[in-house]
Amino acid sequence: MRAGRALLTLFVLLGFAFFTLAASGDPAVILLGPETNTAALEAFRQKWGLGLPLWRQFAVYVDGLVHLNFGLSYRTSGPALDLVLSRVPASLCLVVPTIFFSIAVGVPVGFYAAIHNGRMTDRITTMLAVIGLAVPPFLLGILLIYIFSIWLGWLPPSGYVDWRSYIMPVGSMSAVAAAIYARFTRSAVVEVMANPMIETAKASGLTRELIHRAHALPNALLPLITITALEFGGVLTFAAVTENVFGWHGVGSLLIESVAARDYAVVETILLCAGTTMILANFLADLSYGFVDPRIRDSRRSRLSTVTRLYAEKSPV
Amino acid sequence: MKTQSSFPRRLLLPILAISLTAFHGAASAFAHDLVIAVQKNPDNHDPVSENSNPNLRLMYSLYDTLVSVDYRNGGRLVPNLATSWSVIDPRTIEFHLRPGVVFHNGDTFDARDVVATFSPVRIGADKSVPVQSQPFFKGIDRVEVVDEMTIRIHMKSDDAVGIYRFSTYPSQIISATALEQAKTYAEFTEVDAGSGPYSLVSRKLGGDIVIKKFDKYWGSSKAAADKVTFTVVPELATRIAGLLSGQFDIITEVGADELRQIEAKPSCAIVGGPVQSIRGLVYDSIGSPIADPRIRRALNLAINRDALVKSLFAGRTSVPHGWQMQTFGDMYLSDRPTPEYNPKKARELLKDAGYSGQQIVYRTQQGYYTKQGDTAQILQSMWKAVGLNVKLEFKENWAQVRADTPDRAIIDADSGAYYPDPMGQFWRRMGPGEFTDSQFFTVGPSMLTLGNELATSLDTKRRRAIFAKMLENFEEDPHAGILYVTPMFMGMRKDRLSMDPLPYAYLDLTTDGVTFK
Amino acid sequence: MILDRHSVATLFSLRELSVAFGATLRHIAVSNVSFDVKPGEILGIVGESGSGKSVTCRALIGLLPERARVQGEMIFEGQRFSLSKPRGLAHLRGVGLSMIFQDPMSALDPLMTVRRHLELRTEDDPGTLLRSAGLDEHRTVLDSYPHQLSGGQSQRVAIACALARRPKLLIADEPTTALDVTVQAGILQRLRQLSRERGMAIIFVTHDLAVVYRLCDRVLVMRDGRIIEHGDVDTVLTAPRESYTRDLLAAIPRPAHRGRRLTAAGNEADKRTIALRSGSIASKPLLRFEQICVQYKRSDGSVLEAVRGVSAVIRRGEILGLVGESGSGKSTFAKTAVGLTVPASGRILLNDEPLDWRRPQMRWRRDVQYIFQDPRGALDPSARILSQVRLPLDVHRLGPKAERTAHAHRQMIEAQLDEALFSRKPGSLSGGQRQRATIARALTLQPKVLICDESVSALDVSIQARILDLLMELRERLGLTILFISHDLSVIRHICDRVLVMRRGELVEEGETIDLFQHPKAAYTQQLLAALPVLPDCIEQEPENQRVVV
Repeated sequence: MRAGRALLTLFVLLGFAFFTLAASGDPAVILLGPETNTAALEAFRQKWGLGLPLWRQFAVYVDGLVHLNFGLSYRTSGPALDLVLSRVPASLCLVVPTIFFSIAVGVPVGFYAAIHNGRMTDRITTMLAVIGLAVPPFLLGILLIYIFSIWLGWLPPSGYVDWRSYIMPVGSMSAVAAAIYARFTRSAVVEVMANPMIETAKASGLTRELIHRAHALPNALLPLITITALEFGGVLTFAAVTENVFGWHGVGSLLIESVAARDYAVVETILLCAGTTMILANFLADLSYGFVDPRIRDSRRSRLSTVTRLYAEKSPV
Repeated sequence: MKTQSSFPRRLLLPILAISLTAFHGAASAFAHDLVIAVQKNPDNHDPVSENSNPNLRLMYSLYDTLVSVDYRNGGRLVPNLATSWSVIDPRTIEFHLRPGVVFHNGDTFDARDVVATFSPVRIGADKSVPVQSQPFFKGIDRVEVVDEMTIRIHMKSDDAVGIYRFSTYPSQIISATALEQAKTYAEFTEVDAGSGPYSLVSRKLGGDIVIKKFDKYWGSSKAAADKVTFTVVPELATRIAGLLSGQFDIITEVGADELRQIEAKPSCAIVGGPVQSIRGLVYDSIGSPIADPRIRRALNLAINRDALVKSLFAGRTSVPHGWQMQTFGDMYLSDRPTPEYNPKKARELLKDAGYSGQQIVYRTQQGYYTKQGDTAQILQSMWKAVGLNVKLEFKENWAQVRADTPDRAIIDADSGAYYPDPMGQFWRRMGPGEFTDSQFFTVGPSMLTLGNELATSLDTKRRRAIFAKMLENFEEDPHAGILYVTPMFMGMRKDRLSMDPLPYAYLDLTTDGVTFK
Repeated sequence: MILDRHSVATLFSLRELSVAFGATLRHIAVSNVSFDVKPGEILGIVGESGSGKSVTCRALIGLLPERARVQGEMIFEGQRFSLSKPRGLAHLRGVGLSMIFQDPMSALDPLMTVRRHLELRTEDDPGTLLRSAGLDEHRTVLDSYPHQLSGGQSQRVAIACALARRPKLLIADEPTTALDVTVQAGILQRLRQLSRERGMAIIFVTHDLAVVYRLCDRVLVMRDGRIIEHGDVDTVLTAPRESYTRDLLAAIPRPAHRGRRLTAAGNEADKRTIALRSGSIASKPLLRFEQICVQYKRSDGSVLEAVRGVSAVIRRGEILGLVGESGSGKSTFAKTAVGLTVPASGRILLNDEPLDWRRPQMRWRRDVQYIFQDPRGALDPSARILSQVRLPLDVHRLGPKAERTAHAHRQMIEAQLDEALFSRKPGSLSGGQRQRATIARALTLQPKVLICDESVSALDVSIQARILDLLMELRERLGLTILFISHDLSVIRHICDRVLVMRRGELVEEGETIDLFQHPKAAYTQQLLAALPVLPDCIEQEPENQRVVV
C-alpha cells in the first residue's frame, strides 16, 4: 500500500518532468547548437526516437524503467545511470557533512534560543536564523567566495583542491540548513517546555540542566527526525545551486546541465534517485519514530499482533 | 549555559588554523601546469560531432588539420599535416602528407587516415549518425589515394575555397585505426584519435578535461604546458574569484562588465578581443510582420552600432565593414563602409512600407552570447526611436528561440568565418542552408546565381566583384543585420603567463600562444 | 535564617503574598495572602476559578510565569525566603516542597518509563516509592510508559515523583478533579495516609468542598485573590461566617435539597417552586433506545465495543440521568440519538418513529438537541452570540428574518442571558454565560428532547448551580424532556427523575432516583456511592435560618 503510493508518486514525478521538459525545448536543437543543419537534426531525432509522439516516447522510457533500464544519455550515448552514479560521491561529500554540521550547529543554537525564549539572546539567534533562511544560497556562496577567496585568499573558490575546498560549499549549505534546524529546534523545545510535564519536573525538584537534557531534548527530537528526512531528500536539489557556484561536479550540477540540455534520461534518473532517497528517508524517519516514541512503538506492535492474531484465527488449527 | 557560551570559541579554532595556512593555488604549485576554468566543457571531443565554442577550444590542442590558416600573419595558408599541396583543377586538390607524424594512439599518419577522416559516416552520409560536418563537406566527391603519402580530394563541383575546407573545423585528421577499432560511432567519439600537441588524459562529462603534453608531437610549436586541466566552473563570479586568488591560470567566457575588475589586480590581465565572427540578427522574411524588405532595411538603419560597442564593450571590439573579416586577404573589400546608421531614412522607409506599429517579436536569450540580453534591450530602444514596435521575448534555449511560429521575426545569430573567405561566412550563413531550411528566408534566383559563381570561380578579381554585388543586393533586401565583431575575452594570470590568443574560438596552448614566465 | 519564636509548631508560613500580572500589573491575582501550615497538617484551599488558589500555590514553589510580579515571603522550617525571587526557591523544590497538578496524563514524559521518571529524582528503590504512592501493581507499572497507564495510575506515579525526595510539604492542585470518583476516593485516602505516616503537610487545592471535608484538617476559602474565611474544616463547613461561603455551600447539590433551587437568584419565593416530578411518571415514552450496540474500529484494526446492547426509555417531560465513569460509553450511547455515532445494531424511536440517521431528516435534528461539555468549542469564536443563537433558525429557514431574531432574543432571555451580552462574541463571555448561550441556541428550535452531555462539569459550583436551576425551570415551564449525562452523582441525584448507571458499555442499573440512591442494587452502584465524598448534613438548615433573619 505504502510502496504503491511511493511508486505512484515517482511515476507522476517522472511524467511531469518528462512532459514539461519536452514541451519547453527540442533536445536535438539544443544539443546540436544554433548553427546546425537539418540533416544532422534529422539524424539526431532518428537516432534517439524523438520523432515518435511524446506519449509514446514516454511509454518507451517507462517500459525501459520496468526492465531496470534507465535509458541512455543523449550527450554521452552511455547509460544515464552510470553518469548519475559517477556524480553521486561528489554530492555526498557535500551533503553528509552539511547534514552533520547543520545539526551540530542548528540544534544547539535553536535549543539555546528556546530556553531563553523571549529574551534578547533568543531574538538575536532567531533573527540570525531568519537571515540564514532568507539569504539565497547562491548569494551566500558568492559572498563567501569574495571574502575567503578574493579578499582573504584563504580558501580555493572552486572544485576540489584539498580539504579546504569543502569549507565554503559545506559552510554555505550548512548555514541554510542550520537555520532550518535552529528554527525547528527552537519551536519544538519551546513547545516541550510549555508542556505540563516540565512543570511537574520542576515542582519535584529536577534541575534546569536535567530537565533540558532528560525531557526537552528527547521530546524535541521527534520533529527533528522529520526535518532530517526532508533535508536529506531536499538537499540533493538544494545542492544544485551550491555545486554550480563552487564548480563542484556533483549530481546537482549534473541536473542543471541535463535540464539545460534536455537530456531526458539523465534528468529522469536524477529525479528517480532523489525521489527514492526522499521516500527512503521518510521511511527511515518513520521507523526511527518507533525507537524514540514508545506510543508509536506500541501502536505498531498492537497492529502487528492483530495481524498475527487474524492469521492465527484463519489458520485451521 | 556554560557549554553554550564556549561555543563560538570552539568555532574560532578552525578559522585560526585556516588563516595560518595561507592559500597557495594547488595546481599552480607545479611549474608548467595550467588550470583553465571554463563555463562549459564540450560533451564531445570528436570534431564532427559537435560544433561549439567549448569543442573548438579543445580541438586546437588535440588535432591537426592538413593545412592551417596563420591568423597571426594575415590569414595565409601554411602547411600542417600536409607538407605541400597543389590545386590540380577547380575540383581537385592534391596533398603531400607529412611523414613521421604519430597519433596519440601510436599510429603513424598516412593516406588511410585522411580517407577515414572524410569517410561517409563522418561527412553526414550515414543518416543514423548525427554529425555537424555536412555543410562543410557536402561538396566532397571522393578521396583518392595516390600513394601512401599522397592523396587527391575530388569535389563534386568547382570549389573556390576548396583548399580552405581542409584548414579548419571540422577537417581535423583522425586516426583510421581508432575509427576501425570502435564498434559504434558513439564509441569512437569517446577516444582520442588526434595527433595534436596535447593528448587526452581524462574526460568526465560535465567535469574536468585533462590533457598533457604529447612528447612525440611532430611540430615545432610544442605544447607549452606539461598538463592542462579544463575545469568547469559555471559561475563567472567563481571563475573570476579563482583567477584572482590564483587557483586558475586562465578563465574563459569573461563578460564585458568584469574586465575592469580583473585588470584592477596587478597579477591578472585580460586577453582576447574581436574574433573571426560577426554578432548579428537574422530576420524571418517569410510570412512575418517584417516580410516587407523596407521594414528590414529600417531595422538595420536604426541601429547605432558605435554606441553599442562603446556602451557594452568600452570600445574593445569593432564594427565590421559589412559581412567580411579583415583576414579575408585578397577577398577583403576594404572600401566597403560599416553598416549605415540613419534613423531618418529608417523612418522614411517605414512610412513607405505603410508600417503602422505592428508588433515585431524579437526572441533572444539572456546570456548565450556575451551581453546578449543587454544588446537586445538597447536594440529595442533604438528601434523604438524610429517607430518600430519590437517586443522582446527572452527564451531559455535555441529550440524555443527558433520555433517556427507566425510571430517569429527577429532572432540572434553569430556568424563565424570558418574560412577567411565569404564562402566561410556570408554565403555559408546567408546562402541556402540552415536558415532557408528552417524557413527564415529564401534566396532569390539572382543571389543564387551570384552565390554559385562565388563558390566555384577561381578568379579572385571576379569573385571580389561578385561579393561586392552580393553585399549590395543583400543591403536592399536584408535577411540579417550586423551588430559588431564578436568579442571573446579571457582572464589570465600575467604573473605566470603571457598569451597571444588567436582571433578565433581556438585556444592556442602551444608555445606560440602561451609563454610561461 | 532568623528563627521565628512561634515557628516551633509551624512548618511553613506564608506572609503577605501578592501576585500581579500584565504589563501594567493592573491585574492582581492574589493580594495579601498569609497562612501557616503545621507539620503533618492537611490544609484545604477552596475557591472558584479565578479565586487565586492555584496562583498562590505556584508562587509558593516558584513556578509562576516570568511576567508575574510576586511580593511576599515565606518562612520554611525557620528559613526565610523572598517569593519575589523564584530562583531562590529552586533548591527547596523536591526536598522541601513538591507539587502535583490536575492533569496526570500530561504530567509525565511520554518518552520515559515510570522507572526512569523516578530514577531521575532519587536513588531509592522505585518500587517502594510506587507502593507508598498506592500503586501495588508496581512491577508492571515500573517499566510502563505513561500512555500505557490509566489516569489514576498516572496521578499516583506523579505523586511518587513528587514524594521521591521526601518533601515536607506537598502542594496538590486539584489532583483528583480529572479522575473518576472511585479513583479519587483511593487517592484521597492515600494522601491522608502519607501525611500521617511521614508527618508530611499537604496543601490541597480544590473547588470541591466535599473533598475538603473528607480530607482536610483546616480550610481556607479564597475569592478574588483574598482569603475570606479560614478555620477548622468542621467549623467552616458547618457554620460558615461569610455569606460567600454559605452561598458556595448552598450551591452544592446535596440529598436534602434535591430538586430545589440552588441559587438565591430571582424571587426568593421561588425557592421551593421547582419541585421534582413524583417518582412515578405515567406519561408516554418519547425517546426510546432499543438494544443499542456501538463498535469502534481501533487504528490497529481491532474492534472496541463501546456500547453493548443498551435499551432505555425517556418519557415525555422527564429528566433522565445517565451516570458512569469515563469510558463507560454513556456519551457514545447518547450520541446515537442525534446521529453523531452510528449504532452497529439497535433502533432509536422518537414518538414511535424510527430515526435512521443514515438517512437523516431535518425534522429530527430540530426535535433532538445536544449540548456538549465545553461551550467554548461549541461556539464560533468570531460570531456574535445573537447570530449564533439565531443560526439554527436560519439553517432550517424558519419564518422571516426579523421574526427569527425576535425568537432568538426570547430564547436568550429564557436562558437568563443578560441583554447586554447579546452582541458580544464568545471570547468575552464567562464559562457559565457561554453554556447558557449554547442552551439558548439548542432551545430555539423548540426541541422535544434536550441531551446535556456533562454540560455542567467544567463549570464552577455556583455557575453549575445556576445552570441546574435553569434546566429545571425550563423543564417546568416548557415541558422539556432532558437526557442528563454526568459523572457527578450528586448532580444526577439533584435533578433527575430516573437514573441509568452505565459501566463498560453496559447498563448496570436503572431506577427511580431516590430508590437507586438509597438502595443501590448493583455492586458497582454501591461502590460509586461509597466513593462519593459528601458534605456534612448538619448545616442544612443554616442558610435558611440566616435568610429568615435577613
